[in-house]
Amino acid sequence: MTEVILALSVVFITASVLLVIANQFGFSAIPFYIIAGLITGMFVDQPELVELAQWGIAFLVFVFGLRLDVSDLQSVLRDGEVVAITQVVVVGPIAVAIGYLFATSFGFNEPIRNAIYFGAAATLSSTIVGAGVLKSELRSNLVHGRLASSIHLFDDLIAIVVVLMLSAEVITDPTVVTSKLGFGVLFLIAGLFIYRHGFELLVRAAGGTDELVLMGSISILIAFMVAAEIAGISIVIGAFAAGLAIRNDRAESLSMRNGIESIKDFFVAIFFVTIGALVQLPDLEGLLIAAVLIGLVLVVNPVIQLVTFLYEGYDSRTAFLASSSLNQISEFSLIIAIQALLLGTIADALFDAIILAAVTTMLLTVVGRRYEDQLYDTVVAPVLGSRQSRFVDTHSQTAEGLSDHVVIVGYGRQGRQLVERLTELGEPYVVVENDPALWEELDAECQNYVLGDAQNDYTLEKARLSAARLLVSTVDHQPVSRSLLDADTEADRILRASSSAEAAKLLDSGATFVSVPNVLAADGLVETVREVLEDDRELSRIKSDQLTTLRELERRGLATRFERS
Amino acid sequence: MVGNFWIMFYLIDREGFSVETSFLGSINMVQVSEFSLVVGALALAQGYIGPDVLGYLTLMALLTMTLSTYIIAYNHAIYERVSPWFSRFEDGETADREIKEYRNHAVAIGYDEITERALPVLKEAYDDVVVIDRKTTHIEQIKDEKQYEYVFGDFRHKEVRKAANLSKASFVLSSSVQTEVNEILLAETNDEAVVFVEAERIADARRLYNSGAAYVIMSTYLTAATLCEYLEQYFTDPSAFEAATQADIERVRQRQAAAERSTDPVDGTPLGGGTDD
Repeated sequence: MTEVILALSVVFITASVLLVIANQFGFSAIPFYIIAGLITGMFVDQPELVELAQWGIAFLVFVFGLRLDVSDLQSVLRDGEVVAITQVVVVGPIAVAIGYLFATSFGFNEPIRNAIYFGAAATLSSTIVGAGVLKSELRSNLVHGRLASSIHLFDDLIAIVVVLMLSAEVITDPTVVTSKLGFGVLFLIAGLFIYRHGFELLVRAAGGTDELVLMGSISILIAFMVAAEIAGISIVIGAFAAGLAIRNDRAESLSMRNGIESIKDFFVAIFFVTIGALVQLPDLEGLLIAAVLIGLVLVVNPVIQLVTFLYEGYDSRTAFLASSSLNQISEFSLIIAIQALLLGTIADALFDAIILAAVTTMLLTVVGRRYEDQLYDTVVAPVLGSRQSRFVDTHSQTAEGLSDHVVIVGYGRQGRQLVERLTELGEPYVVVENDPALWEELDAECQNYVLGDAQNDYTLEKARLSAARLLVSTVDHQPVSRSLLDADTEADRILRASSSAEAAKLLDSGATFVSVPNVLAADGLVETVREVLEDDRELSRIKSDQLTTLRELERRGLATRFERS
Repeated sequence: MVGNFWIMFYLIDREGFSVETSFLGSINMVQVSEFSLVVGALALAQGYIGPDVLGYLTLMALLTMTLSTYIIAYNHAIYERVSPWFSRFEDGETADREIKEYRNHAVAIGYDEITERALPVLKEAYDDVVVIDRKTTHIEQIKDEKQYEYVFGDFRHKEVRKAANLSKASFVLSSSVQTEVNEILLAETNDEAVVFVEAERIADARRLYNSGAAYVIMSTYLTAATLCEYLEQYFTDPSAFEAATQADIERVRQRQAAAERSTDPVDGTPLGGGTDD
């Protein structure tokens, strides 16, 4: 027992020191856990930690299943499914073929399995590492945020299927594989059943006590994992099904989530450190495999995604930003690798290569994010420039000689209301929007529009910004605001920011006005608060007024289009 | 159980507290602590005691914990019963000072541009205005104002909600757009409380109204409405446009200045904050 405590202390102390460094430079924690493992692995050798690492896997996947909102699936998958499928269908076989080449030339046992491991590592690019950064972009509902998170989800689901298949002892025997898949499906159905009916019972039995709900949820997790062991499939499936079973949208779930997140963080740290500790210094074979893997993940994957996005009609900046958030090795590949190591079915060189490549790509992703925009401007934009301009030409409609008009950037809820008001006032306008999914509406509802990237000079030219009287941006994204400020025009500029600090900076840089939603909403709110405090009978009137307004907004088609949080 | 009670009662009463306080304080102490089990286990590991002693200790702990649970749960009721007999210990002094507990107060969740404007209005109507926020920068700003009470913590945690005594609040203003936070809020406030919450989507707003919200702030639509007004003024009455936008710009600058005065750099991500699509 004391050896485990000693090992854990070494692990966590090393990890803490490295995390302080990571935090200074703004890196995420995960690659540094792995590095901590690499360091401690040279001095400490603890088989017990591998047991604990399994729990890390279980909790990681459990929380993933927990966060997955079954009802959201449809809307999330809709966005990037073509790109995700293309990537898997194109890169997958190529990667597996390369993996097979390595396996046979280096003489690994079980070449097919190893080829699949290599293929999975090269193709799957979902991540927890990138997910944190994506969250803020998803909130501002930027197109590339939506696309990237859609692909992440898709990759995660494919990973679950791959893990399921790989838990078959003999993967070349179709009956074994299908029976495993069958079990997996059974588990998922059980999970969904509990989601529908079981969880309510649990909460009622717990009488709303937080501790009991938490214990109940963890019991469900363990029960599923044990069942998975007995059925001979990977515990990952059990944990995933258990995650699906727990409802996340109830008020009681909140404190349960708090509790589980803490436990998850603990075990996940151990998981990543253990992975690092299991890595030996790679020999030439390992380094070669790692290099090819990195090349595939950093270059081939993004390029294929970029091309597919362009084909789908997204502007080049969106395409680039979305695909560049997808250039790392997924944690699921690490899970696959460590499970294979425990079963003894993966070659050492391949294992080392996958882990090293994962660390490298994770670190590079974070660095790359900082210079994303520069990279786009210097490398990608010149190459794709003319193609983009032709696209903008065919997807726009602006009246000849338009001038003294209003340019509205963004055709979301705010944009649509502004267009409505301008139509009432009889003022000319041009709408600039970059989401191809809105093309039909732009065509039907807007007098003039340009479908293109607002940060692109040609788009602004097409919108005749230089002759405009007023520019109103409804996009809450600093780079867009900044580039609109730099644009060559005499027009007054109304921009948008999410906080006063940001707004103040934009005002200092020359914006005529900056709308900060909270500031603008505050006026109306304070009025309402005053009314209520003076006479609380006003409450029912206020409520019915607002419900009427909301119905009105829906009728006018101004409700939220994308039901995503 | 008996010995502890009387010893504690005597000690507390001696300090000058009222009989009720001494009684309640000492009757909460009539069990064997879990720490005794820890010490016992250690002693066993070191070989100072035998397993039978530890077993006896555990049994005592179980018994006393079980009994004391009910005693503590009904401690006030028990006191009602025995207070006539205990009045012989009364010293005829005044009752002890109550620890301050918020009651019929206003609570604001999240200190951002929206709540900041509402706080002075709430202060006029309620004695205590409590602000819950999880960012140190915001807490510092509230401290500087010297007008409002604050609870530093994440609203999602029960202890934080208890510290603000949410169940006794009369008015709650939430600028969080997360529906689960608002649902918990509506579940834990009492029925007479007026609760303002925030939502981003119309479906969520309807759900919150059904759960008992008094008003659902939809900042994106409020902003859009205001922006449309400004847009109209830009064309029809430019001086009014100037005046209105200047007022907002003033507010933005004030808020930024207040944020800069607090020691940490502003990170600029308020809890609410509309999104657009």
